[in-house]
Amino acid sequence: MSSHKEAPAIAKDPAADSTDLYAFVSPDAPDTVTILANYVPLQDPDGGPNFFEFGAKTAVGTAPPVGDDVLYEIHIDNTGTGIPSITYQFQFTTTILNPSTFLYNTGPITYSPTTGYSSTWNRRQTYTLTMIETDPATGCSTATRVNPPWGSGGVFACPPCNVGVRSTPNYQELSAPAVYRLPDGLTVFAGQRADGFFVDLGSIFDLGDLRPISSHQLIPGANTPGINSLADKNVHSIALQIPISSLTSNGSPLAMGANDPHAVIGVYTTARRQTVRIFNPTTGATTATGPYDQVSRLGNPLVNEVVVPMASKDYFNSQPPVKDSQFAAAVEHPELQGLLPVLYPGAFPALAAYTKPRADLVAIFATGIPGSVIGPAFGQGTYQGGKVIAEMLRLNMGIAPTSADGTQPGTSDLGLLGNDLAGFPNGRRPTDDVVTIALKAVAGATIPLVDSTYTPDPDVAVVNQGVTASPRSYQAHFPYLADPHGGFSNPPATPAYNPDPEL
Amino acid sequence: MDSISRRHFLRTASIGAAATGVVAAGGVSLLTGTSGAVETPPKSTTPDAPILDGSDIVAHVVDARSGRISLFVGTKQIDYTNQALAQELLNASR
Repeated sequence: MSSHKEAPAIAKDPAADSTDLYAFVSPDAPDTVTILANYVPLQDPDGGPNFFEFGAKTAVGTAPPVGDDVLYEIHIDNTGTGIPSITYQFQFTTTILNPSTFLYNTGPITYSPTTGYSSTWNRRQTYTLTMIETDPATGCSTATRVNPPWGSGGVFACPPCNVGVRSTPNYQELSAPAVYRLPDGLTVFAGQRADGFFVDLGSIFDLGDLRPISSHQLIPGANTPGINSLADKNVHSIALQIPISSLTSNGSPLAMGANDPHAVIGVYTTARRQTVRIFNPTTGATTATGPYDQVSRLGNPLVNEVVVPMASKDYFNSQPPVKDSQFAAAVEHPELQGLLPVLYPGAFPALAAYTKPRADLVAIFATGIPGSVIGPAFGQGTYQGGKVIAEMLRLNMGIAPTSADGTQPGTSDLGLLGNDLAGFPNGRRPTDDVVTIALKAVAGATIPLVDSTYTPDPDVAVVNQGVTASPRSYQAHFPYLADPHGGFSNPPATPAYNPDPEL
Repeated sequence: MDSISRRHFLRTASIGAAATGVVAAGGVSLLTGTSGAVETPPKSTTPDAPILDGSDIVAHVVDARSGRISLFVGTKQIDYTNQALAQELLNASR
């Protein structure tokens, strides 16, 4: 998967497990950039009674919160140093209103503009947001608490999980109030969403048996369309929409568009837990102490998943991008490049014979693609390629958006490989087919960008996972991932007995 | 289900909203690690009692021979060296 359960340690810690990171110029607000950092993977919507939530300390009633939590961060490098200049920190608190019931909700959950969410919602989450600005040259930082519209010291609310039509009726009326539009142009949301990532897990991890070309596999099968393993899954998303002028290192809009020297940012997300966790057997509670250490990290999709060797995955998750030169060998000589000619005999002779370090993959994942190899529309001469090896999702904010939900003309879910410069690997939109893009890239499609002597194998054109984005998972406006799938509807019931409009 | 029983369910389930605090008592926890064999952490004989603001303090003996100890408190890690203390903690763990 993109990064769902991608490393042994984090696979056992879903609350801190980053699953996908998206960064794109907002199609309906092109003077802003939207960043989505998803956590808590593979949620079955009907997974009660303890539904899904961010890692947080828990408060019972009005008592102080206790336990251990996760510090979630979104980092932005706008200087090309591999060191973030801007970090947004999210810290959540769970509150149990009624300690005497096992129920997530004691009745239908409703929302009132004057009184907020109804008291029938028993287990709920709020969060604080802090912006940290760092001078990469000196390391000096300043932290600023971002306040909700009603004043300083307040907290933001997450919406409830989508339990079902009886518990969370009119879900959109419950989720919409959790989108906060702040006076400085920042928009923020955190809560459950439909998982927009699409992948055929069953085929990918069964020795790379891509269903559309299964008849050519080493152990052949019938050619069939792919299956979207995440079609009915939910995820927890942290979403920010930020004015571009707040992201540039000079604090100004991009006067020169894609060729503006401040146009490119690098984005990644991390999750941190405190060093020591202590289980108290007399109370059943866990507490934590010490600094927050990085346990999960995500920039580009699939890097820690299928590029970094298994024995190094947990270590990779603990490292900052600025130290990524230590992982360069795994990118320059990816294991998957050697596997493809074996798994598909005779299909990739040119790839099998190619022994040079994969400079194209290093550019895509670790340095940014130099604009000079694409053309002026890609920010010729301004892209931060080659400055430092730091695996991050790089976005040229001066490239005009096409679409985030994949519906507008000119949008290709193959991004750059489909001549759509607004898609992956120039940032990443929810509808980008990053699995097929990555497969084609590793299979040799992008080698000619850096090596004009190489001609890709013809079969690269047919490499694909055979899965398309599910329109149900997206919406055309912030936070772009659609309302989560409802629990009552999953697994789907007979429509005649199911009032859920989702069916 | 008729409306009366449905209301009863919703009303009953909402009773008891008064909070009861479940607060883990702060206490001294000791994890020992040496540069040699890994020891099973001993059960602390120190009674659970609040320390400072009630948060835990954990001492990690990183290397008993050199006396390297890391203290974890709040969101801080404090590293210092004290051979005598490290040896005393090591002795207490046996």
